[in-house]
Amino acid sequence: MGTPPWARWAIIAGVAAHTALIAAYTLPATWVPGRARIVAEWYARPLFHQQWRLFAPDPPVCGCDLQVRADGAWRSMADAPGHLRRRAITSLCRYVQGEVQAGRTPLSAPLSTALRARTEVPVTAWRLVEGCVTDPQRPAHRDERITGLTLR
Amino acid sequence: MTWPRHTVALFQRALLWWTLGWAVAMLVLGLPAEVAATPAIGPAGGFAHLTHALARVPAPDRAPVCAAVLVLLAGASADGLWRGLRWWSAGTVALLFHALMHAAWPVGHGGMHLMANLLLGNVLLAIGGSVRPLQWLAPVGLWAVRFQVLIVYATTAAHKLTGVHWPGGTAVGIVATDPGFGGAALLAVPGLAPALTWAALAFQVTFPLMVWWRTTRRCWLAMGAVFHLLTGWWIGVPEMSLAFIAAYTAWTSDPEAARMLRWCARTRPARSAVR
Repeated sequence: MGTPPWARWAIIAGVAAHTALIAAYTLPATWVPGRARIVAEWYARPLFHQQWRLFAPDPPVCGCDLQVRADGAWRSMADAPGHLRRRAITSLCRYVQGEVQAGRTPLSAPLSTALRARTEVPVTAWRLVEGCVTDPQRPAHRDERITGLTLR
Repeated sequence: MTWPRHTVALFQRALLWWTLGWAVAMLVLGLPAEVAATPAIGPAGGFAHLTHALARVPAPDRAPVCAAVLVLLAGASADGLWRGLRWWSAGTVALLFHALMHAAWPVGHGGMHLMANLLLGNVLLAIGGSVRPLQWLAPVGLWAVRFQVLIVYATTAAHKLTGVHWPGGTAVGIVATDPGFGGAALLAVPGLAPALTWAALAFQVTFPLMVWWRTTRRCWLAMGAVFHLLTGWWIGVPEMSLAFIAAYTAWTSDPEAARMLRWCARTRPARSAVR
């Protein structure tokens, strides 16, 4: 493939700029100067959004279970039929956990809507049940923590 | 520099097989019902009317529209595989996948982000391969895709190094005892969980360096394939493993890619960028 010299430099510059901006967008915020981060967000968010924080910087130390009260009994939403439904509920549970940890109650409107749309029966109450590691050297030992949830 | 046409052909085939398989699997597993139950959210911007088009469809219509988009994605991928990939069909596949990804955020994962970015790089590859005055865009696409793979490992390693449990060796033990993932049996073997934690971290830290030399590259790509297959199965997202393996094909050398294409017994490689 014959590439003229000007094109060679354009290719190198283009790839380098793109890679640098994506790196600035995805690296830990403390590693990237504030202004570079703003430019990177402006560039990356519309088309190149990505984040690589699965189990990072640390895996979640609390297990996550969303429960609903229906017909007088608590039941786990994770018992829903269907692989994708269970996966969605697991993922939504982590979002709920994040909002609870950030003190955001009631839960945000999109999250509330997404949860309500995934309940088949009339629900009278919602709660988040977490099993939390207290000693990382003995992770199997977990303390249970229950938080009542208010939906918007 | 000799243009690695077999590498590009292999990469494009891998991408299209992934999108075809993903679209069919999501149709069978009921993605339209999940999309119908999901309000629009996520990073928008100047292209939101395209990338978030499906998420903005009114809720009652979202399931049938999602099903139609999945069928279109499967059709466009199959068309690219059997009739050759043109720039507009590469663009269509990328656009449809972005729309689905943003509409289905609760079932999303890193593999989908990776694939969305690879598909954009593939558009440049396809334009460069089929529009002669824009031929120079093909190497931009190829190197953007290659560096995208390195960014994944470099940034996840950077995040993990800023934490406590990865450097401390307790991360895998914590994940394994989480009922949402399972695998607590790992703790029965003394020292196994810390060893796996540090091995995973070491793999991710070294990956962006080791792919630059032929011998180490083969080794790291093979280790990566095993790593992603195991973790994808463990955390219940097997398509994420396959997305990474598809991405690895961009890092194969041209002779390696030619051998793989022959091994796959496909006589006609994807048309785009194969010049």
